[in-house]
Amino acid sequence: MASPPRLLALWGTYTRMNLVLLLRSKQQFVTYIVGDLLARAGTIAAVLLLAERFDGIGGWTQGQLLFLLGYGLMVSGIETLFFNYNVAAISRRIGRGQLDHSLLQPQPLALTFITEGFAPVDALALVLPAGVMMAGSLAAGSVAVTPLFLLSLVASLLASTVVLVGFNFLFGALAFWAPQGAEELSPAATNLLQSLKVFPLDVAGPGLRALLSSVVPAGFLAWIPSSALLGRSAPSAMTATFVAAAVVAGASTFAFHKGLTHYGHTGSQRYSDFGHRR
Amino acid sequence: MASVWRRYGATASLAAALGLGENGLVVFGYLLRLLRVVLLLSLWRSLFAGRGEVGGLALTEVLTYTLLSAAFAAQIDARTNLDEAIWNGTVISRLLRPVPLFGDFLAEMGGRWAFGLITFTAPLFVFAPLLGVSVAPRSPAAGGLFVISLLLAIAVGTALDFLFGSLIVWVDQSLWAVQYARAGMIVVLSGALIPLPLFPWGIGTVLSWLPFASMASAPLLIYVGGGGALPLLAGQAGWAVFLWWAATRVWNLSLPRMVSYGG
Repeated sequence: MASPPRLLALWGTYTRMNLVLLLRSKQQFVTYIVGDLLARAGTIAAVLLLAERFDGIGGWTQGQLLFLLGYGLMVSGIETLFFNYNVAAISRRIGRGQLDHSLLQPQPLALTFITEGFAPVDALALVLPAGVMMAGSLAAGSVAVTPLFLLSLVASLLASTVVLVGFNFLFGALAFWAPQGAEELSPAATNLLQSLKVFPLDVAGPGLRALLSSVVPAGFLAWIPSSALLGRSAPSAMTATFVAAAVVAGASTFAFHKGLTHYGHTGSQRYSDFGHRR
Repeated sequence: MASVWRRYGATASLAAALGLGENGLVVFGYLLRLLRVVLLLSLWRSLFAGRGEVGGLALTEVLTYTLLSAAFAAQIDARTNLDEAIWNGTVISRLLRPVPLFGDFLAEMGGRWAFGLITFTAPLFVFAPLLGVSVAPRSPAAGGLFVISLLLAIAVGTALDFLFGSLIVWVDQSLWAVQYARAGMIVVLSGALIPLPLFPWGIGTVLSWLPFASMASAPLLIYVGGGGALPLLAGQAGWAVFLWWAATRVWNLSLPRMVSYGG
C-alpha cells in the first residue's frame, strides 16, 4: 500500500480532475449536482410524506426517519466520494475490459481503486444534504450528541460504506466469468440496496428482516446502525454493522482475487474483433 | 408497409433473444426485484394495520397496486435505448437502417419486454396468492380498461423518452446525470412507488395532473378501482397526443444539431 503522502497526492490530483470535469461549464456543473440530488430526493421525500400521512413508519417518528434517511444518503455520499467513475460499479469496468487500463498502471490495483474514483465535488451534492438531515434530526434532542456518539456515527458510516462497496465488488466479480451477462450486476445490486435502505425494516417480518440483514445486507446501510445510534436497539447492535463490514469485505476480496486469477487466463475481448462492445 | 413490420418483428426477436444475456444472470435481477416487492408489501401491511381506507384505498387494493406496479415496471416507465444510442454514437448506424428511427427503437423495446413478461411478470401473477395478494381486477371491465390504459401509459412514457433523448442533443450534457434524475423523480411523481392518493396535503391531487401520473398511477388505479376510469383515460389520451406531437417536433429540430462522439 502507498504511503500517506502518496495517497494524499493522488487524491489531490483526482480532486483537480473532478473539478476540471464538473466546472467545464456552469451548465455541466448544475446538471451533475442537481441530477445527483434529484435522483435521491424523490424517494426520500416520498418516505417522509408517507410518514406524515401515517404518523411515522414501523414505530419510527418523522424525526427518526429523517436521521435514517440522512444516514443512508451519507453512505451514498461517502461511496461517491471515494468510488465514483464506475469504481464501485466494478462489473462495468470488468465487463467492458476497462480493468486492463488499471492493471497497466505502475501501482497496486488496490491503490488505483481507492484513488481513481475520488470525486469530492460530486459527493458534495449528497454529503451536504445528508449532513443537514442528520443534524436536523439530532437537533430535536432525541439523543445526546456526545464525542462518543459522533465517534460511533463516523465509524458506523464507514462500516456501512464498506458493506455497500464490498457487496458491489462481490457480485461485480461475476463479470470476470460472464463479462456481458454480469456487466450491469454491480449497479443492479447497488440500486437494490439503495431502494431498500430507505425503509425501516421493522415493517418486515422476521424472515425478510433476517434476509435483509445477511445475504442482502440492505439493513446495514441505514436501519441497523441508525437503530443503534438512536437508542432504538441495544448499543451492542452497533457491532453488527462492523461484523457485517468485515464479512462482506473478506468475501468480496476473496471473490475478486479468484476472478482476477481467472481473468489472468482468459483476458478481455475489448480489443478483439469479436468483442461484444465493438 | 408489411415489410416494415417484418423488420420491426426481426428487431424485436433479436432484442428478446438478447434478454437471456450470457448465462441467465438476468434471473438474479428478477430475484432482487421480487425482494423489493415483498418488502413493499410488508410496508403497506404495517402502515394499514388497524386502519380502514386511506385516501380512498383499502389495504387489499394497495397490495394489488404494488404488485402490479412491480410486474409492469418496464411498461409504466417505458424506455427505449435512444438516449444511450445518442451518447455512445450508435444512433448513427440506427439512422442508416431502412426503417423509421422511432419505430426501430420501439420494436427493440418491445422485444426486450417480451422476455421479461414471460420470465417475471407472468410468474409474479401466478405466485401472487403466495404473497397474500389478489391480482384480480376490480371487475372484468376494469381489467379491459387497464389494458387500454397501459397502452396509453406506454405511449406517454415513450414520448417522454424521446423528449429526454432530444434534451441530451440540445444540452450536450452527461447522459447519466439526466438519467439518474429522471429515474429518481419519475418513480415518485408517477405513483409507481406510492399510490398518489396516499400522499398528504393534497400533493397527490396536484401530481395526478402531471403527465407522469399517466404512466403509472392511471392504469394501476383503474385496475384496482381506485379512480374514475374515464377521466383517467381521457387525461392519458390528452397527454399522449400532446407529448407525441411535441416529441416529433423537438426531435426534428434536434436531429440536425446532433453530434456523436462514440467510443
